[in-house]
Amino acid sequence: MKCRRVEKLIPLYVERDLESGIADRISSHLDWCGRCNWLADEYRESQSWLRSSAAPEFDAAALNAFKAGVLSRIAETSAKPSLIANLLQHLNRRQVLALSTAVLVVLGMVVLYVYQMRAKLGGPTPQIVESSPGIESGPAGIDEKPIQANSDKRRDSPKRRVYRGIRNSRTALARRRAAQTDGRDRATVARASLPTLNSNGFSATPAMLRIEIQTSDPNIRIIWFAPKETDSHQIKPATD
Amino acid sequence: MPSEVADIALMTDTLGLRNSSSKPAALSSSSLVERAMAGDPAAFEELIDCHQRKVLSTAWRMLGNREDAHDAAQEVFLRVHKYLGGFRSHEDFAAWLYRIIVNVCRDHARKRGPRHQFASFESEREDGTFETLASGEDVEANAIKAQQRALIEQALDTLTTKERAAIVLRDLEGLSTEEVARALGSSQTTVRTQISSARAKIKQYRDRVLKRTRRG
Repeated sequence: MKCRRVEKLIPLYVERDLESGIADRISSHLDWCGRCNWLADEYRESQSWLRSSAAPEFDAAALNAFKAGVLSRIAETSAKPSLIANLLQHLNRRQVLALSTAVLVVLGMVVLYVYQMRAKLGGPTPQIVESSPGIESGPAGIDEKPIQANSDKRRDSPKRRVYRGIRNSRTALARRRAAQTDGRDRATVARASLPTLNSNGFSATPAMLRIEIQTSDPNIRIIWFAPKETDSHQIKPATD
Repeated sequence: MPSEVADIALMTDTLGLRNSSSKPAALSSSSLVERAMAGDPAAFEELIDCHQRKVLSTAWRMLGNREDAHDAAQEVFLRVHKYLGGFRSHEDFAAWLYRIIVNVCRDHARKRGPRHQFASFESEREDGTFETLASGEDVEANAIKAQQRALIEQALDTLTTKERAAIVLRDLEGLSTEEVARALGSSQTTVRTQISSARAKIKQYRDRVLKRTRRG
């Protein structure tokens, strides 16, 4: 063992805080190394010096006063019951039971209310809007599929949300570019193709039936076109 | 020095920390604890009688002055009273008590902020009745002792709170490394590191004092 390592371990060695194997190796090192041996002696003296400070002594009167102080503080603490304990003192068993039931009912209602609110706010349920869409259906070549609420709920992981955001922004950009290159006035197109919607979000043009659904994500709007004559069960998304 | 070491061993024996000779003390202590847990106020008073010296001296060594030690020791017994119901009777009461002492002293040290100057045992003795001189002791010898104690307190003051707690429990209270680790809620390796560093710092301080004395 080298002196450097021994020097680090000597503070523990002098008080037998080391495992026997390491302590034996240090002992054999100290047998031949005068410098480390001297250091070990120094540490032993230092430890003796530290221990020379005996524990403070306390006389009986001081200890009695201390004990009285502790007991009086304990009495003070136990004399001051908590608010709940104070309340319970004035109520009998039945009242306590009724009170706790009422508290449980109120808590349950609060939990239900919070749960419902969260379901309302957090759910990506698509909703049908009556506002004018502003953007026409995407140009050919851009694949836009209607978003299903249930599958979204299941797969609404943070990674997926980020991916969807990127996809939506790309789609919107592509739409804008397409509209610019077409040279069409989007507002005109919207006006031409979209008369006022009825309360169900359905609008009727002479040729087509248009259904517009706004999802909770403002970037996603689902627009379906269907021939007016077809039955409502056979409505299919427009591919054009 | 050997007599002081023996004193420390005796003190830890009364707390039930040594296995060989402390069985009767431990047994009586455990029955006392059980009675106190059952709500016997006399048993709790006895418990205070048994442990107050130890609690006071440990707190004093950890905090370095009488007022803080007194407050901390009171707080220790208040916590013992409060949480005694949660104490498991098969556990070691002394170890549990040491844990409380360490936690309370840590809280006090944190509350008071930067460590203030240590008051020596001698000055404590002068301004209070907490500690008394044994009658018939030589005044000069006492003065030397008091000076040495003050130096030791200053040496302890150079340590961090954790190092101080470790060295007080290990070297001054005579607990084993394992017991210290349990009391401090650390691993034995951490405790050994703290103890090693503390011993080195104390030696350095002592060396400086000796150098100064030789020059002077």
